[in-house]
Amino acid sequence: MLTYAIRRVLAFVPTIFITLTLIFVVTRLVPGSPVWALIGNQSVDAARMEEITRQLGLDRPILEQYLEWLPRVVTGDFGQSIFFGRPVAEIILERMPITFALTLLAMIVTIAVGIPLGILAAIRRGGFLDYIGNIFSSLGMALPSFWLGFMLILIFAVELQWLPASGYRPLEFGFWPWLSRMILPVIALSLAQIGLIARMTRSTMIEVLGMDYVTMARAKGLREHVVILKHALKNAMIQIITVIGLTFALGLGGSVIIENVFALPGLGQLITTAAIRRDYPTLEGGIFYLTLVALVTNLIVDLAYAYFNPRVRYGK
Amino acid sequence: MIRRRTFLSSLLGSAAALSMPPMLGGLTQNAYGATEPVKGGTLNVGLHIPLPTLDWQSTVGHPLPHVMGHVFEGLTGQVKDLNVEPELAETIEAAADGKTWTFKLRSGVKFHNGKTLEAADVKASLERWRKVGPKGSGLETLSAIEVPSADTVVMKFNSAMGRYLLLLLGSDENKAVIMPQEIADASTTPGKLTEVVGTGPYRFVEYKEDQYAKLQRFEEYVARSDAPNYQTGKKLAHLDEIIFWIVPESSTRIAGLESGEYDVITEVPDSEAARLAGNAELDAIKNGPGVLNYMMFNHKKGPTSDLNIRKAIQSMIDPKEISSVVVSDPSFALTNPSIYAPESAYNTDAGSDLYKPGDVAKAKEYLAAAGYKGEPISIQVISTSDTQKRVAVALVEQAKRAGLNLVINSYDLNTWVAKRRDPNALNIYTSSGYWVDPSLWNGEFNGTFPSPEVGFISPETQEIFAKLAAETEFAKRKALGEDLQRSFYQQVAMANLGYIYRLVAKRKKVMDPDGNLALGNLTLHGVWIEKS
Repeated sequence: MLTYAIRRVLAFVPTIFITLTLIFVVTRLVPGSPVWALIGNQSVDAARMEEITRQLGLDRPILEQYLEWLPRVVTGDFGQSIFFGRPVAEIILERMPITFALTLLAMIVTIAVGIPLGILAAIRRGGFLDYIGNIFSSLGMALPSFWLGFMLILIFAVELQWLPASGYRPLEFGFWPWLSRMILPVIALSLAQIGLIARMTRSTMIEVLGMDYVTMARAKGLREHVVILKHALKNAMIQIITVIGLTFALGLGGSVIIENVFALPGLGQLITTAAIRRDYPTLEGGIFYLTLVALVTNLIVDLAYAYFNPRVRYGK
Repeated sequence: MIRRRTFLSSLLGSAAALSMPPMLGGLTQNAYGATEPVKGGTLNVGLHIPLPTLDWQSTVGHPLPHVMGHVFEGLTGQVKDLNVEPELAETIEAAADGKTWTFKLRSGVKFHNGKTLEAADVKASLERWRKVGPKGSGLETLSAIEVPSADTVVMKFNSAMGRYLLLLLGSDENKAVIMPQEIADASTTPGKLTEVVGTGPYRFVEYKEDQYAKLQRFEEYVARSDAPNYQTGKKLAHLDEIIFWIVPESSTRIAGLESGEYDVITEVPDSEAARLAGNAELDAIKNGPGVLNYMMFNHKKGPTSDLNIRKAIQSMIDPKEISSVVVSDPSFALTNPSIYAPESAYNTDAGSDLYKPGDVAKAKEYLAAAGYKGEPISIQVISTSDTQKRVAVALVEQAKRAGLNLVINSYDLNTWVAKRRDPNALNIYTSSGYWVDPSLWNGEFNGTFPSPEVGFISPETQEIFAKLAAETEFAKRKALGEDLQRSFYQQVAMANLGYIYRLVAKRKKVMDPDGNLALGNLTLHGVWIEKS
């Protein structure tokens, strides 16, 4: 297990390198420049533009910029934000908890609802619960999260006035002010993932429930909930864990849209505004940290997968 | 010397000619029905865009006046007729030759850091604004700022400067705001203030990037004694606190207003006007002055540098048709031949004989005269701007009728900004804004905007701008304004695509007795919250 873990961690290094290179290239390939964004509608002369370009270091050859940039960013130093005038790491550290809380809460809700829904659909296959579960899953996956977000705002904020429509309050404002503004975004973000997890759990459970060892367990007279939860679910979890890891990464990606709909100042919103402003350091830092979290999640999933399925460790 | 009384009476002369249409005044008494202002409470504003900087001096960025207009003040400030009157200045005197302007400051005005306003602060602030402000270049003929006493500032110019100076200093697009000398001197980088300290009725507390900006009432604020008048006059700060929440998504802003989370929201799509007006708890407020959609050309290179091509385009345009696709509610659009806002005293039909909307036959004549062979002419739009895209689609259809091959190039904002400066890339772009004074067009038509390689400049209009800068008398300025408009039409410096109005919305409990929310940028002086 340890050898496998070391191997996986080492494979992480080239992945990070490729990721950073892609981030650098893609941000530079996008038309426009931070200089234009900084100038905006102002009528400035060419000398002033050249001065800003030089100050930002954008007058140097792209390869030179990259070779200066890479050793710096591998230590986590993305420099100063062009617009905020503060270290990117500091800004990301402020925004990350919001995105992380949103994604984590969405994952908890996804697991708490999706897995039981999938199990119920599997054991009542063809029944009413399976039918309802299928509709719920299909709808969850089919509905765009931004549309769902607006619908939730209309129902729960505007009509029922149970929850605030948007915005963010840090925990210093109190637990409920914080949580009340996370509920709708979490639901909007988790619904599609619930559908995915529920469908995966259902199909895996159906497959596992047809296995000989499950029949054997039942023949031994074990109670049905023990058969399902201890024998069937434990084996089905191998596939489900993979999907959970995937949904976490999807959630991070989805947060970009959800944060904009609900005016949550997280990493997703930061990336959107940084892209509009061509704030290269912030954009690169934001994308990198999101990618890093997704990669680490995948690593954890891989290790968990190896733990549950020893055949993976030995390369079988 | 022109004494203040003379100066003000000349202003009043123009002001008398100005009157906002009733639709802009428009706040009706509501169910709360109170008449006595209540002090206290927090006003939550749903703002459509984050603040790119806290340095109002260095930007024409849209949300700055909404927020910083409550924190900072200038020597002059905008009034209801969108002209300017003294704000931090008590009196303003101009020498007969227009080369010397003397500003006597109000006494006892305090900065938010407790310091008393002095002439040295004004001098340092104006010098900074001149360097970092996009509109600061308007002071190019300024030779010196002198401080003969602690409450007197004298601006000396190489050539005559008219009352355009006061508009330049007080226009809230990029106001020459006053800050303590030590802050102005230390804040050498454009866009970066060492501290946000003004003299306004609300003091700046904090800005959480992309989250909110918080202001609190400045208890030591010294108000003017004259009547409240939009951004100047006696400013009443009834609110304890104003929080501007950054909510870029318009649907979310509207939902937040409906649910009571926000008390006022900015930049509401006009398609929501009827629905919001039907809500007993809300007010939909039409906001003016009319914003002109206009077309700008590459005057130096390519097909649009040919006057006949520009005349063909001017002839083919039918603003009424364009307005019908730009707004959902027709009452938010207006066709008017003037380059000055319909609410401006300078609004005129001079030169409108050249402005015959949708004259396809004339357009074809001009195209033939230009020897046009159907080569594509591009109109560049910002991909995220619905207004620009709709205008462009309507224009393409109108161009087809005239036999002009107009194609749309859609870019993101930064690329759009870059392309419109590039003589090899730009043919046409559209933009919007409002002009209440002829001199204010100078920034766009002095040959430098959007870049010297594409911008419009002509000896004729430069001469008119020079006369306008020096002229103080309203009647003469009005005549010069007419000359300028006529010249614009003759040379097709730009093309008029019609006016649109903006929409602001508030909860009924927000009382705005002066009707400031119906005017220009968000101004919350005199606004208070009625307890339901």
